[in-house]
Amino acid sequence: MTKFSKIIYLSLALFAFLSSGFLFAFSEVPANMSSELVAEAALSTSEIQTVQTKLKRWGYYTGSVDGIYGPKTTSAVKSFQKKNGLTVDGIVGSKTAAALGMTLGTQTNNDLYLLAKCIHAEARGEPYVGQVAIGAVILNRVESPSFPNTIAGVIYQPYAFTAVSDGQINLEPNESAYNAARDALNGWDPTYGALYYYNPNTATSSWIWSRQIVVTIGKHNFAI
Amino acid sequence: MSKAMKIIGIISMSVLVGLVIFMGVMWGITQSELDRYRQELNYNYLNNFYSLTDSVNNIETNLSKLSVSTDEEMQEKYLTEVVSLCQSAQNNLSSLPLEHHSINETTKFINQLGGYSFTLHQNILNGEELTLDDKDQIDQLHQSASEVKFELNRLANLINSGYSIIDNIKDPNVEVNDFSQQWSGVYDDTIEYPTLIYDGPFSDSTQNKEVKGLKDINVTQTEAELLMQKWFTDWQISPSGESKGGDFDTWNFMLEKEGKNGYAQITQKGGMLLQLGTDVNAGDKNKQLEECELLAENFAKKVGIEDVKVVWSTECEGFVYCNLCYVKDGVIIYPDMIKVKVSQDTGEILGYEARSYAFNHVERTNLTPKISKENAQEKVDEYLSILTEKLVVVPNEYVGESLAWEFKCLKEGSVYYVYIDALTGKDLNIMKVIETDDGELLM
Repeated sequence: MTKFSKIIYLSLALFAFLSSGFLFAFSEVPANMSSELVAEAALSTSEIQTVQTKLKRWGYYTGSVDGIYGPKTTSAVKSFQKKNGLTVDGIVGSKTAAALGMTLGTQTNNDLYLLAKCIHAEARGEPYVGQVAIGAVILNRVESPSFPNTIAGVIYQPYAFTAVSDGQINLEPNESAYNAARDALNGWDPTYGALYYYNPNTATSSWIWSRQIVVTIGKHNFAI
Repeated sequence: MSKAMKIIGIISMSVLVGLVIFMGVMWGITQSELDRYRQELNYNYLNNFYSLTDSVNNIETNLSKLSVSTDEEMQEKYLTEVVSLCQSAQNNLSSLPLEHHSINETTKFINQLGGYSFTLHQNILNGEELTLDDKDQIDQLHQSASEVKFELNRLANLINSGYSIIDNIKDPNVEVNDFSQQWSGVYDDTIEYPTLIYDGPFSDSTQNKEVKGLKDINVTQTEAELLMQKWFTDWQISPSGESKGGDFDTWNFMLEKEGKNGYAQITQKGGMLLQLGTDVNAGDKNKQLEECELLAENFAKKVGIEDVKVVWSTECEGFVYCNLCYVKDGVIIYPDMIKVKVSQDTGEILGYEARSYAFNHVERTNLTPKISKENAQEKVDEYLSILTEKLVVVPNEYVGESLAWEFKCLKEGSVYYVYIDALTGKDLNIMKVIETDDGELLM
């Protein structure tokens, strides 16, 4: 191989390498995965009752409002769909639901989800009690006048949690984090009312050391 | 040099030049992208800062008007304004890139001011007048608000004359960023915030609630350990110190069994099991809801809590969470509540929490309604179909409790609980059962 062809190969390789780097950098820019998945989940009993009540009121349904999606309900839904120019399949999907004037789907428990995310990000290596403790601190902050008054407000407050600042909060929480979040929401508070916690080996804030320590769990000191 | 070599030379040169141009363009795009994000973030900060300043200015004005107003309708108007201004001020403040300890006191002041104004507003709605003490308090609050306003406007001048928030929060190596330092005027000791005690949200008094439900005996650590061993026979118990200074002084214990861990607290006064938590995972679903509820009730009895019954429970991922309340003469006393977590796999008690019970449990003497069930029922919306009715005691939103009629109702497939005061006939509360992807919630 000649010197020049070496240069060519080298520069091409460099080019490929750098451009892949750039592409990678760009692919990191908000890959907003707005989920287009429309939940076609089964209706809850109360939703079925709502469907039955409405269809009964409008004369499509003659059975009882029992929350059971039986053949009578199905044929009532079909005749409603036919009358309203919808696809006649006897299933209450989003369009049929809209025509019925109801919003489908149950409420997402965002508080639980956010709490689980923060617990997972901040304490996934910690003992379970330590995970519940992080959840409890967040909830204690919500109750305290010195902090924001919602779970989202507390978690996303600037500089409040390292794991939010460095992006670990975006990891999907595991089962243990969900359980810990549930326990915390149900009132378990192994920190006995703490508002702060820190890892004494890594904490740099001199201010945090001035807080009174209530308990130490795993790597963290919990303080008020 | 041969011709071929020359061609190769030209090609490689042009590749190199192309590469440099490409990199330059890419760098430019990345840079402009970054600049755009930075700019948007800075606008966001400025928006929050100016909105905050605006709200505080208006809070100050409203408080000063309130302090000279004698008309109740006007007072109501100013108080409502202050409540909503405090809410938005609090939101703005917590969105700014400021270290917690530099806004700690200001946040508290704003939240308490909002809570206090809310309470005064409720009092006026209930037909009370503002007292002289209230007026004094308002004057003091106005004074503090003026000082916060002064500092915020000083900062606004700084920003208007070119100080950039985003350029002064960058350095990750400093403990307190410059913007927080600039803020120092708002948080240092020069501003005196009054201690606020009122029956409402964020009051200093609800921060130190009175404990009513503990027996008047003191339990030593050894006695507490014996209790633990009696209650949790399967677990290995070891003491882990005490907690003092919170709402309850407690003895703390660690539990261990086959690699699983737990912790528990027993109150030093009264020897009551305050809480238990364990890290046992969910297993098979061998036990039905009803069976778990019974196990929860039996466990409460075992730890010395008599006459409690399950009033609400949810099944979730292999566990049943039960809420148990004290029942006296058939009346459910909701403030005296304990929560028990039962494994559907083994039926074991894996979690327990009794703070509400420990705070509130006393023998109620007057549980006779003045308003009949039929009269109370007339207050229920006619479109609700009533399923059941019960006499209950409910906790008031902030302080105290009320005897009430509880009507469980149905409307279009949704369940509502309507509470009517059994002494005055007033509407107390409406709760709705919300179905979430994680079980039912009562809100």
